[in-house]
Amino acid sequence: MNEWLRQLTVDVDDRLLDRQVTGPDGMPVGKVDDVELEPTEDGRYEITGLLLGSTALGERVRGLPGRWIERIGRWLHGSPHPRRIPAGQLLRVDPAVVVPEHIARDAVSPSEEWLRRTVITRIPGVSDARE
Amino acid sequence: MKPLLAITLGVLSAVGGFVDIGDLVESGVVGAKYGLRMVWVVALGVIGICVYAEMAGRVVAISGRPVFDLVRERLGPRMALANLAGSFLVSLFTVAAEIGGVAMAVELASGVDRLIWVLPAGLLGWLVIWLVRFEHMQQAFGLAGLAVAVFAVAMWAAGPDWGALGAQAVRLWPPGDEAAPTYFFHAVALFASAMTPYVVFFFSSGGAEERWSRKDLRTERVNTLLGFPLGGLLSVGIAGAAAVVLAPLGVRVDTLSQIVLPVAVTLGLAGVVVALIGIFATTFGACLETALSSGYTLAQYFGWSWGKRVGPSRAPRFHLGVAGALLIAVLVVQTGADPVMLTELSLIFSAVALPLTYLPVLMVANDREYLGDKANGRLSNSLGLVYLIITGIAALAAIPLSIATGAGG
Repeated sequence: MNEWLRQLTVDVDDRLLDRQVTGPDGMPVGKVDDVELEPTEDGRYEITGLLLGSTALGERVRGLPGRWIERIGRWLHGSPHPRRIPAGQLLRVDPAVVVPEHIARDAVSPSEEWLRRTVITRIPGVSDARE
Repeated sequence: MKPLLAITLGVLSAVGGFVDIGDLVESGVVGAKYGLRMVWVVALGVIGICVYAEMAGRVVAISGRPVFDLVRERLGPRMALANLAGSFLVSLFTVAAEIGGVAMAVELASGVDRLIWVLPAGLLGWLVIWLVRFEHMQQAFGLAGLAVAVFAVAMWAAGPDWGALGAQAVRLWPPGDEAAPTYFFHAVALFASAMTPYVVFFFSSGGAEERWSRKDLRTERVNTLLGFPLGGLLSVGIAGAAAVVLAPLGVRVDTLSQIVLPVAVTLGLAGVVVALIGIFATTFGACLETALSSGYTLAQYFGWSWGKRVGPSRAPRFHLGVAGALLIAVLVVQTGADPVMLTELSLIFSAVALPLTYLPVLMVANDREYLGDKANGRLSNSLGLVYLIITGIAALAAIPLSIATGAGG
């Protein structure tokens, strides 16, 4: 178990929420739009997962803009459930939240994937701007 | 050549803040109206943007996190969304204004109406962002933009009374016969455009594009400390040329062709050619800067992958954002909207976004989790705090002043 996971208490608001989530190579996966908490037997809460995507974000933005973000997210992803990364999979917080390669791949946004396949890769010159 | 190439990110960022289309015109207007009596505002703006660009650059070099990342992380999703809305609109209006500026520059050179050039300018912007590497892009337009130094040459060639100009430059108050609100409206406009938020978005994201790390801190400092003052000097040159040549003739500047007039009078056709190349490069460079910034802010708020260091296929939503911003901008300018008016409109949104952009930068620059031993020292913090207050005052004053003076009229 890594050092970050051994912490007994964590200030979720300061240390976790709204942080960038990346793969080990620094490739962005999404934001920590919300966290999943489960009550433990001793009356505390344990962080069990990170929630990513506009459906999770919309709830935290609240109000009219929040509802819009949520609605657009649901429409794009075709699902009311945000993407979830199990808390045990965090590699480190540096200050971005880094997760292993396979988790990063699984957590890629479906709308990003769709856009890549159906639009972007069909435009000529796609690979030319790569460093 | 090599040391010059290393600071092109700073130069291109500064071009967007000091010599983009809005500033070209604003500097000319101010120079013809007040002589060099606004140099203090440019100096104030240069120091302010240096302070915050340096902090943002340092944060990105040490932690890899660009500015809008920090905005979301420190202000939370709601306030950051308000900032996103404001900043995005500023960038969008400015992209439109720059495309209009490019079209006007080509109109001046070719004699063919500017509305013909709007779509080609937008398309060219998209192609450059889609195909050209980040470093080549910034080097080409950063260096070509230096051609606007021809205005300073024109000022010198006109043989001004240096003593009188110097006396103007150290004054902080409008000349006796000019109305104070109009003077301060122009002061706020110049200051806000120097510190406009997209400059730090672009500078910090550009640092990430260039993969700055701890060992690049020196490059980062040289970029801020040379690039932005250079931008400020270029804008003073434009004001100076107008002050020396146009002010004595009583010319009231309100078009781009009048801005070029001092160069034509003193340096002839060759000077005009250089000036037009410079104006094309700075407005087009600023168009790239603001279009990219639109993409950067969106992507960094929502956590999408972004940037030109990865190919478009690995950052599809970012590229969609950039292309969308360019498309909207082209449509806006195609209606015939005046680019100068567009920049003035963007000032109002800029006012809202300024403190919301710089506060998170200052907070994170003090956070040792991000910066370790490179966290802010006392000097950066004192200056940062002073400028936070100044931007707050400018933000509050901007809207009443623009209403009271009919946008400086």
